[in-house]
Amino acid sequence: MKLKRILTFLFVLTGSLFSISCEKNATIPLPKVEKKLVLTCFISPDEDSLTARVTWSKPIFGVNNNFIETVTDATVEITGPDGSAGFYLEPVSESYVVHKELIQIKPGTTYTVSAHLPNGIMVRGTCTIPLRSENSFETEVLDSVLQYQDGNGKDVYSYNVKMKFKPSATGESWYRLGAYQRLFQDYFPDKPAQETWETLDYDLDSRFFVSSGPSANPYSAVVSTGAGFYNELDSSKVYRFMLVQGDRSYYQFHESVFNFEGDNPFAEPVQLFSNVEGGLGVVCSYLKESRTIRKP
Amino acid sequence: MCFVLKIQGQTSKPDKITISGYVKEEGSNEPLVGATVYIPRLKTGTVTNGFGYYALTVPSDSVTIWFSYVGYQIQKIRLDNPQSQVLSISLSEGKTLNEVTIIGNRDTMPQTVENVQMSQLSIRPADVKAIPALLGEKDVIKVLQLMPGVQKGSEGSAGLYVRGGGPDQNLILLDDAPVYNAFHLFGFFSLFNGDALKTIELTKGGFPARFGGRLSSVLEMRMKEGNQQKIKGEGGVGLLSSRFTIEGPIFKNKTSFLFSGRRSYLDILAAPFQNSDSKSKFYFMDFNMKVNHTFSDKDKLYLSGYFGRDLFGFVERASVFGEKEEAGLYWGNATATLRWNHVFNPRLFSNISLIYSRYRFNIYNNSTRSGSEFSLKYYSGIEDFGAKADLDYYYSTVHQIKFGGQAVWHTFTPSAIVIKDASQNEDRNEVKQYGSLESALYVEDLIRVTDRLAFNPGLRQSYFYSDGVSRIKLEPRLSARYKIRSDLAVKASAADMNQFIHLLTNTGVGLPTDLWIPSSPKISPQRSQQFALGLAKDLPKHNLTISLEGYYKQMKQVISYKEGASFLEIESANNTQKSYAWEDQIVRGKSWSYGVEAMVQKHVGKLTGWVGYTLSWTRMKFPDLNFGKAFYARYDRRHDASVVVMYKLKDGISLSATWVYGTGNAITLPLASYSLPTHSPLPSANSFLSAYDNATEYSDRNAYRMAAYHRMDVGIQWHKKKSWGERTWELSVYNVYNHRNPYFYYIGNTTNSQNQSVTTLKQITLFPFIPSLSYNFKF
Repeated sequence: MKLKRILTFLFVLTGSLFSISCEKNATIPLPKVEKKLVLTCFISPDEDSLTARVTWSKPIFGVNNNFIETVTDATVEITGPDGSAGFYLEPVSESYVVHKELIQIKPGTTYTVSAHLPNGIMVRGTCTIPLRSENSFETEVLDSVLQYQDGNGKDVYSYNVKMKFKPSATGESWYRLGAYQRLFQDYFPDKPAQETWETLDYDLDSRFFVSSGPSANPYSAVVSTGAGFYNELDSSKVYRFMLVQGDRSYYQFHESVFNFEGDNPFAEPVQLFSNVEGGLGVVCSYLKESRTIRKP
Repeated sequence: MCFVLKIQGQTSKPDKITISGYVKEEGSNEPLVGATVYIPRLKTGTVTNGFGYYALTVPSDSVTIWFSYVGYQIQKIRLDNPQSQVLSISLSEGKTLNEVTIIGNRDTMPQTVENVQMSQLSIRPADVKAIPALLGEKDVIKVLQLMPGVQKGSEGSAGLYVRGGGPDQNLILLDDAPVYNAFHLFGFFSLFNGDALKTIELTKGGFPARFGGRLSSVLEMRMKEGNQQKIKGEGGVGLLSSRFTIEGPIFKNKTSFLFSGRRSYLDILAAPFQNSDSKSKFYFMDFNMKVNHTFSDKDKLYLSGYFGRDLFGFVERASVFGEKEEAGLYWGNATATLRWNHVFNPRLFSNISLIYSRYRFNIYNNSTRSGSEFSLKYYSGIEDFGAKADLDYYYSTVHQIKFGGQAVWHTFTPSAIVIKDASQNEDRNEVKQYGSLESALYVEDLIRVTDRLAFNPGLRQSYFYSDGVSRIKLEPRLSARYKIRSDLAVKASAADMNQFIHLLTNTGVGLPTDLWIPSSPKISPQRSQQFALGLAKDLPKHNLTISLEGYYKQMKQVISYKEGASFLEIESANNTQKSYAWEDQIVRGKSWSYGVEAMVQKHVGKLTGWVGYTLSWTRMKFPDLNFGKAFYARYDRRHDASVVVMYKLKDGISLSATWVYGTGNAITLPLASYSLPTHSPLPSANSFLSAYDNATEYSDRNAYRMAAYHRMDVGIQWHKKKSWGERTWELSVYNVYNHRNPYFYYIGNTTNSQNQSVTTLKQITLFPFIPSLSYNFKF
């Protein structure tokens, strides 16, 4: 009995000692950080318009503010060798937009995007559009797999599609592939259905192909179109395959974001790429090509 | 006290003779490693090797040979007209209270000054038992962390960071078998039971050619052989674990055994308090065993082994629906060594070993729900089969040559995932294993050019084969010593090292999730060059030794997890877009470290201990980390100091205290959060994805420092002789002045004077003031 009491006491003592985790505010000086402007813009000659977003960063330490402030009073401008153009604020998305008629984006050319605030704060980022080269981008339907029969007794197939390209740019170049299916979102009966594109392969979306120079061997990836069971409105399925060639900043930025694991306690901390002087974010560029396949 | 024995030789007289034999402990016949065999008149001598063997070739005139070992009574053997002979000696343990021992005798050979080897630390098992420890758990590695040049990673951690090197850069050997993860309880304790150990030696630099395979240190531990005369035992009961060791003869003076075991019992004590539907399991245990047989003076055979395991898990049952879930993790090492000592002739001694070692880490999760079974098992590990041969050739008192070779077949399992999910009809078995061959040949020569000047040059040729790629590396080594005076020497060393196997450690969490991986076409071997220069001084009148060393070490092809990588394939809610292959999760860079270490040590007397101080810098540079900018290593510690004191108050009572101080670890802090859109190749006009609200701006890597670490531990031991042996009660206190040392920081909230919620940095202290009581016995 006495031994049991001793054991109980020792256990409680040891267990409580182990469970004691003395917590207090850290005594080391904390980083004194002011909020910074975050400018993000992806520039391409293959888009009808360019979009930039301007927000404030929120210092971690200090009085809590749950909101990421979007900046709506900035003057955002793009400057190139042929002139400059100002972005306008699109009120719904709170993004800054400029249409391609106002500034021609040319491959091989360097552009600077800047954002000025009325109080004089300014940030800017610079990038050089990749040179266009013949990448021999192709798609090939490899085979099909029967998925199921629909309500009308019709066979529904999934298709394996191979995308391939041969980088021909000299020096290092960076590519992404994407495979998408067209959908119509029919949420409001009194409004026409909206066209949208659904990713077929999320893993492929976050993968880069890096080339150190012209390649005799093609880079490739195979995706499955899946059964496509979303809706009946688009009975003739349309698939679009994209090849994006980004500049170095485009690659470094996205690689760092894809590596970022948020609050995963097991992951190594990630420093996100930024080429914005005086702030955070990225100004980078890309070219894109697409191929379309309609359901056979 | 010392003994003088006179031995009369025969009448025929060769020019030179060789005296050889073993130096052992009287009573147990335990070989004494590093015992001094010295001839004062000739100012020459040697030390016993790892098996207690020595050989000395001297002129055939009358000589008096001194046999000595710290803490033991000196024996002086006079040989008149000696012949070549086997002369094995037994030394008795000396009483250090009143008697002068070897270090105090000016005529003996001072150890520190005489040794050509620098950057080497020896720990006596008796000191491990005397120094106060966390929860009374005596720990070999924690005592090593009190030495200059050796640092721990974090509060309570038993990791070794030696001269700026990472924890994977230490070769830890237990009776020649490598131990790959030397920790219990998430790194809080090492798995070495001091009761089973005879010698503990750490080499931080100036590596002799017989050592290789790691960049930063070699921790060589030898188990006791077992008392050859009578059964003896010892053990202890503490707050966390209990241990027991028994040793003795199987055949007196021929065959002996040793068995030592240890187990924690918090789980046993907690069992009555746990819910029958929900039980936790947590324990660690380890066993050491050794058997050895002496065939003759020329042949001995040893078999030794180790097995250890840690387990943390839980079992939950929902009795209504018959659901059950159990999950947890366990890890452990197993080693075995079969060794044969053979004396070819008095000047040529050999040791041939067959070695096995295995480390395995497992995570498991088994559940039964709605009659459907799910099973997940992830494991990683490494397994070795090896052989080595080491020969000591005592050519003359000028040349003592060591040469030999080794070969090891490694089987790496960096990741193995086995998933069986009946509800999803999933049966996945992805086991990746790689085999590699690592081998080496070496030769080194301890050259005593004059009484003052000695060199130890060596050359090691390493070979590694993996995944179709062979690598051969030459590693030159050199140590030198010049005696300015009999009690003062300058030493220097240079060593080129290669490391073919690597450990990936996750910096975020302190779990035993480390992965051992081989060099391959994608992963080059790590390489280092280290240079050291130092002074060694003996103060025999005061039983003090003083050392001062400066070093510079550069390491190339050092590996690290890349940013965002983790040890386990995880699909987070934020990001389901990635797949992980461990080979693609690492980056390579370089590291360099330099510093100065000082130590004053008192080995014998009523008061013993040491004071150590290290001033050092460790930096790293990886092209793919920190935007290619150099940064401090996480364990870079500018100042590291320790004071260790052991005092025999009187017969039956001894006191001990330690005080440690260290600059805080380097850490990376988050600075700000922000919204960060990415681009998608979507074929629509607006290519922005939904924004990343949780993007975080971090400081430069390891740009901030944790608060400085310091604490004091004290202990008192009461010894009492009993009819059956001796018992010792020990009361110790860890962190006696309750300093709140930070274990880790996290982002938390507090409220300011305006009642606003404020985000701040919070600190967790793991071990406050912790008393412990333990009972130890020996018979």
